[in-house]
Amino acid sequence: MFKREIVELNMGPQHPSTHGVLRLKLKLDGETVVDLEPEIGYLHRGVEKLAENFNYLQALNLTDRLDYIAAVSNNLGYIETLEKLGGVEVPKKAQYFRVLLTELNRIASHLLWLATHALDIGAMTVFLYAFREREMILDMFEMYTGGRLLTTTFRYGGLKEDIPEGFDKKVKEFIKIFPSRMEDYEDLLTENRIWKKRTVGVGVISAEDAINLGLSGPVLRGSGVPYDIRKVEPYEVYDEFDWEIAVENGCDTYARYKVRMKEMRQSLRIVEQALEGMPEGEFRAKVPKTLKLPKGEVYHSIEAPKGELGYYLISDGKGTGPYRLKVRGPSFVNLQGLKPMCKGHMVADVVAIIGTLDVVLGEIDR
Amino acid sequence: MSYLEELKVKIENMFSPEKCYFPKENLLSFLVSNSEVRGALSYLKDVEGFKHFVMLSCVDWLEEGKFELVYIVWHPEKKVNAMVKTKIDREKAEFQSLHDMWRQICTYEREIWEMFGVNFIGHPRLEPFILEDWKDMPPMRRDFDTLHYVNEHYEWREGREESYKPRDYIGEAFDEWRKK
Repeated sequence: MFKREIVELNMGPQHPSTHGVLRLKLKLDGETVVDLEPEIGYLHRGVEKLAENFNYLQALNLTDRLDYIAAVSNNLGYIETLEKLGGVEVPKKAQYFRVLLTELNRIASHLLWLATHALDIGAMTVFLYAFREREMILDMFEMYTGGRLLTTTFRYGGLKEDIPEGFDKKVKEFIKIFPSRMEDYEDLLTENRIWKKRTVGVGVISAEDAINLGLSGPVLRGSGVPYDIRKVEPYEVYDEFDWEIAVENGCDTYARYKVRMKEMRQSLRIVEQALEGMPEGEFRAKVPKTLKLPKGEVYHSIEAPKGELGYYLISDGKGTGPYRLKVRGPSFVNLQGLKPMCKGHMVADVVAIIGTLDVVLGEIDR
Repeated sequence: MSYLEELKVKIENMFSPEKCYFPKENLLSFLVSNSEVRGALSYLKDVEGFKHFVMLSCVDWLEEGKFELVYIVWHPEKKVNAMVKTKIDREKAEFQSLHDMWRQICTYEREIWEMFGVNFIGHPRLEPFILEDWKDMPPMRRDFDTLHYVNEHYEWREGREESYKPRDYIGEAFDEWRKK
């Protein structure tokens, strides 16, 4: 008879489905995962250390490179943390525009997730479609900031530039097109038999475990916990808009897929309202050219596309840069859910679970 | 009186916190002695209901000669944050591991052990995490000089050709734009 044996297998760092440079050490019994260990650090650039040597504006550039798919959200979190410490009142127009851009960024991030997640599982068509729509959003970013991926969008006290002419026309075009495109994706996937077989019941994590592990974002909401910082601790002007938290009770990959799809629709609702209600006025508060913050510390978190993104900032009151900047990247924490989710599944399901966690290695290694 | 203000009074009665204050609304911050950290955190978790552990961070106060450990927790129902801080000696950087309270503290402690060199007693696995083959001083300490390290370990790449001077290039374009 054959002897059973545990085999160790390396997956990554250069593996198309690990979304960057994630390496997994799998322990396999046949094709079933017995144990799993993520190895990180291939993209470590020392963002937190570099920020200590930079001034506040320079450190903003570093935040782009954390979660490079959702750079706008990263900028927003960092700038808001500075504003909380400095105590600046941001003009309404700037706040509306910030919300608009962040929500567009959320859609772009989720589209990239949808594209790659579906591609990993084997649905090639969605990949091509989703990138088409993502391109529209990146064009808007390019129009406003000049950058497509690394945007460095906001400034202390508001925006860097006023909203360019013709920007609203582009957004309106997107709002008009996107709902029908969403239907296209859903037609391809939601009731697809293969898609359901690959996702339903895969990567189950209970609400209790998810809270204990500190998971956040769509992963937590997929387990039936209605926790969204935009609702529970509203920043900017999120409390002025009419939208709902996307929650699903399935706890599995399919539920998280549905949560993100719902979330894109809700984001579009917010974009629509933000564009309609965009007030006139100043786009930047009066702030000094060289930024100096009073001595103190603050922790501030926002809802990034991947979960709770927090910045812990300390200023010593002397320098023009942060004394310490600690980033709580949502992917860093969410990755800890990988092990409990994968145990007992096949190797092919590991690919699906990495996709559903939607990790970005720039944020994990920092 | 709001919930956090009540909590502040309770904590002042129960423990001996220094600098108990609100850095922003919805956030209570206080500094306790080393022996009180576990008590304060388990009080917040089990009695008050701060179930969600947000993050653990470390700050290097070089001039004081101290490391500061910062535990941030969140209350899902009251929607408030609390920040428990403690200072440990920089020379003898040791602290008890609290990984049994929240599972994810394990990962944070491992990172801090690597980046700051704080030894967490009772931690199941203090192994290299993000860095690879690191033999120098822990890099997030404030006396670690990044530039010195780079000069020692890497070669500077030669600059580009003379033809590329960004300042001149931008200047020309800027002047042209001005004329319009």
